[in-house]
Amino acid sequence: MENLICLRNIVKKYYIGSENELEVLHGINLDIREGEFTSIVGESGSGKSTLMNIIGLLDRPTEGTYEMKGIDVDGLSDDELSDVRNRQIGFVFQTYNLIPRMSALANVEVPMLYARIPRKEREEKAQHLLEMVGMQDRMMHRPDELSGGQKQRVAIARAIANNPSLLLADEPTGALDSKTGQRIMDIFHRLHEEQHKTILLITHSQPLAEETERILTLKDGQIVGERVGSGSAGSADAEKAKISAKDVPATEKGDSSHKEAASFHAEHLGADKTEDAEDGIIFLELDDKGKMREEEAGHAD
Amino acid sequence: MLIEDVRLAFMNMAANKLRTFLTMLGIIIGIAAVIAIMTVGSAQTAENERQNSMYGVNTVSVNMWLKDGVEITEDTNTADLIPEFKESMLDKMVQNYADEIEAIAVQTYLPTGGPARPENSTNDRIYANCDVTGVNPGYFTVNKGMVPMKAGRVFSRKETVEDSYVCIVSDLLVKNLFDGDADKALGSRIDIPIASDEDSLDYTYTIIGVYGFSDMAGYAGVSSEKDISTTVYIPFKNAQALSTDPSAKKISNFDLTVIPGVDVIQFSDDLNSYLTSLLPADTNDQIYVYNNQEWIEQSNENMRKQTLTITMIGAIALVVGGIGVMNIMTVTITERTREIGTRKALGAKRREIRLQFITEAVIMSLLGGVIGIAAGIGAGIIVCHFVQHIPPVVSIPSVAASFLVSVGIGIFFGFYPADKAAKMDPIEALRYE
Ligand SMILES: Nc1ncnc2c1ncn2[C@@H]1O[C@H](COP(=O)(O)OP(=O)(O)O)[C@@H](O)[C@H]1O
Ligand SMILES: [Mg+2]
Repeated sequence: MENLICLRNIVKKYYIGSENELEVLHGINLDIREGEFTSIVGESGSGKSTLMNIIGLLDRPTEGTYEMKGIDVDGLSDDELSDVRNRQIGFVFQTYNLIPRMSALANVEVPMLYARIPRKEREEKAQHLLEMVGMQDRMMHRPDELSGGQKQRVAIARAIANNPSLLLADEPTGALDSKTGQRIMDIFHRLHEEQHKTILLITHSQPLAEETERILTLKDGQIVGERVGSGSAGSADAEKAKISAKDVPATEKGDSSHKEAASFHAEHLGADKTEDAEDGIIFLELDDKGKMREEEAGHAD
Repeated sequence: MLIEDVRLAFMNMAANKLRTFLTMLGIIIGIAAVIAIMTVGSAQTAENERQNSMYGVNTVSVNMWLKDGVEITEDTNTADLIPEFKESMLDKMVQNYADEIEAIAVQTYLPTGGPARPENSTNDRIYANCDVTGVNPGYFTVNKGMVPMKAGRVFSRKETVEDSYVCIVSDLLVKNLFDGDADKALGSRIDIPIASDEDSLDYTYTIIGVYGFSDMAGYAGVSSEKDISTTVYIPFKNAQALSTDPSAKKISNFDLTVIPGVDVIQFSDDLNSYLTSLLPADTNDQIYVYNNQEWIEQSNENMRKQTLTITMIGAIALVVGGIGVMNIMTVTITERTREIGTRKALGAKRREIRLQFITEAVIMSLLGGVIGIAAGIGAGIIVCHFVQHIPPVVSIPSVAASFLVSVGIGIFFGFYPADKAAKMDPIEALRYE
C-alpha cells in the first residue's frame, strides 16, 4: 500500500520571548500508509498534539519535510492548506469543538459547506452520516442538548463528511467515561474495517491504544517506540512494525519481525521490556505504568 | 454560503438580543433622525407645491406699511396714518405694467353677526355660517386656484363701483341653503347679518355666482361640514360703504397676478422700487412687495438647512453606531475564537471567515437600519400630523439611501474585526480558552 503521509526530520520549535527557543519535536520521521489505524501514546507534554497539528496541516514544522500523497505541502499557502484540510483530513478533538447554536445536522454540514456541495446533497449526506454514528434521533439537537458521547459522535460524522483520506483524533475519548469512550472507539474501528479509513489516534488510554494496528510512543518530542497492536492481524502485519524513530535505521523490512525490532529499540532506549506471552503483545513501558493509569482515571469522570 | 451566513447571523443575534439591540441603537437613532426629517421635509415640499398650485406661482402681494419709528404724538390723527394706495398711484402702476399685470385683486373683510339665511326665512334650521369679504372682479382671476368659479358670474364693473347688493357664495352655502341646487341659488336672495359698532343688521343680497369651496385649513375634522364657515364675496365698494372700520376705506394692500412667463421675483423687485418712487418724499409709508415663489424658495432653503443639520446629527449617530458594531463584532470574534479555529480546521478559507463576520455585521446594521426607517417614518408622520398639520410624504430615495448606508456601515465597520478573525492562526484559535 501507498504511503499516505511521509514526515522527514520534522522539528518544531516555539519561540518564547525573543531569544528563548523551545524545541518540542526533535526530528520526527514517520510514514503512515493508507488504511492504517495508528495510535500515538506518550505522557502529557511529550509533543503528541504538536505532531498531530503538523500532520493535520494546522501548524507548520520549523524544519523538515512533509509529503502528503507524494505532494510536498510545505509550499502551500494558508488558504491552500485550508483546502487540503477540507478535502483530505478529518479532525476529532477531545473537546468536540462543535459549533454552538448550530444543530447536529448543521454542524456535520460545515465541511461540505466549505467544499461547496449543494444544499440538498449536503443535507442528505449529513443525515446519512448521523445515522451511521447512531445519532439519527438527535439531528436537530444543538450541542448543549447532547451528552459528551453524543457530541463526539456528531464530531466524528462531521470529520468524515468530505470522505477525507486521513482521520486525526486527538484524545477523542479523553473527556468521556471508559464505557462511552469504548463506544466511540468502536466507531473508529468500524470506520477502519468497513471503510478502510486511515486513522491516527492520540490516546491516554493504554487499552484503547492496544486495539489499534500500530502503536507509536512519543517521549520528549521523539518517537521512542513502535509496536503492533491487537488490531493488526497475523504475520502480514510484520511489515507494519517498521520503526521510524530518528536514530533507528529505516532499512528493516519484512524479514525483521516486529518483536525483534521493538525489543531492539527498547534496549536501545534503555526501557523495560515485558512480554505478554498469552496475547503475543509486547509492552513497552517507557514510564511507570501506574502514572499513566492515574491520568487516564482522571479523565474518565 | 451567504444564506448559511445570514441564517447564522440571525441565530447569533437572537442569542444575544439585548446586546444586539444596544449595538443597533446608534444606527436606529441615526437612520430614524434622517428619515424623520426627510419625511417632514418632503411633506413640506409637497405642501409648498400644493399651495403653489392653489395661490398660483404668478401671484404677487403688495403692501404699504407705516415706516418703523414714525412718531405718534397726542396731536396725531391715527386715521391719517393708515397707509393708502391712492387711486392715481394704482392707475399709474396699471399703465406702467400693462404688459406684465394680468389682474389685480383688492379685498376688505367685514365682520358678520351670524349665519346667512334665505331672504325672510323663519326656519331656524336653514342657515349657513359665513364671513363676508368685499372684492373686485379681478380677485377671482388672481385667486382662481383657491376660489374657482363654478356657476354664474363675477361682479360687473358697474356692480363693483356702484355699491350693489349682489354676492358670490360657496357651493357649501348653496348646499346648506338651496339643497345644493346652484340654478335655484342663482338669482335667489339671502339675508346676511353684518356687524356694525353695537349690533348687526341684516342686508339682503342677490346671488350672482357660486365658487367651489376648498377645505384648506382642514375645518372638516374640527366641526361638522354643515357648520363650516365659508366666505360670501360682495362688491368691494359695497363693503367699504358698510364697514365701520376706518382702515377698510383705504387700500393698503392688494394682490396681483403677472402674465405667465414674467419673472415673478424680478417683477416684484422692480414693482417695489417703482411704487416706492411714486410715494411723496416725506412719506411715512414703505412698500413691501412679496411673492409666493420667493417665500417657497425661502422655505425650501430653510428646510434644506434643517435637513442638513439633522442629517449631520444623524451621521454622527451613525458613526457612533458603526463604532458600536465594530466593538461588538470584536467581542463576538473573541468569544467565538474556538469556533473560528474549528471552522478553519474544517477547511474555511480566510475570505469565508471574513464573509461570515462581515455578513453578521451587515445584518446587524441593516436590521438597525430597518428599525430606524420604521421609527423615522413613524416620527415623521407624528410631526407632520400633530405639529405641521400637513399630510406626511415618505421620501423613497432617502429610505433607499438608508438601506445602502446601513449596509455600508456594516461592511465598513465589520471589515476590521472580520479580517482579524480571518487571519487568526487556527492552532491558537483552537487552543483559546
Ligand atoms: N504555542 C506554544 N508555545 C510554547 N510552547 C508550546 C506551545 N504549544 C505547545 N507547547 C509546548 O510543547 C510541548 C508539547 O505540547 P503538546 O504537543 O500539546 O503535548 P501533548 O499533546 O503530548 O500533551 C509542551 O511542553 C508544551 O508546553
Ligand atoms: Mg495534547
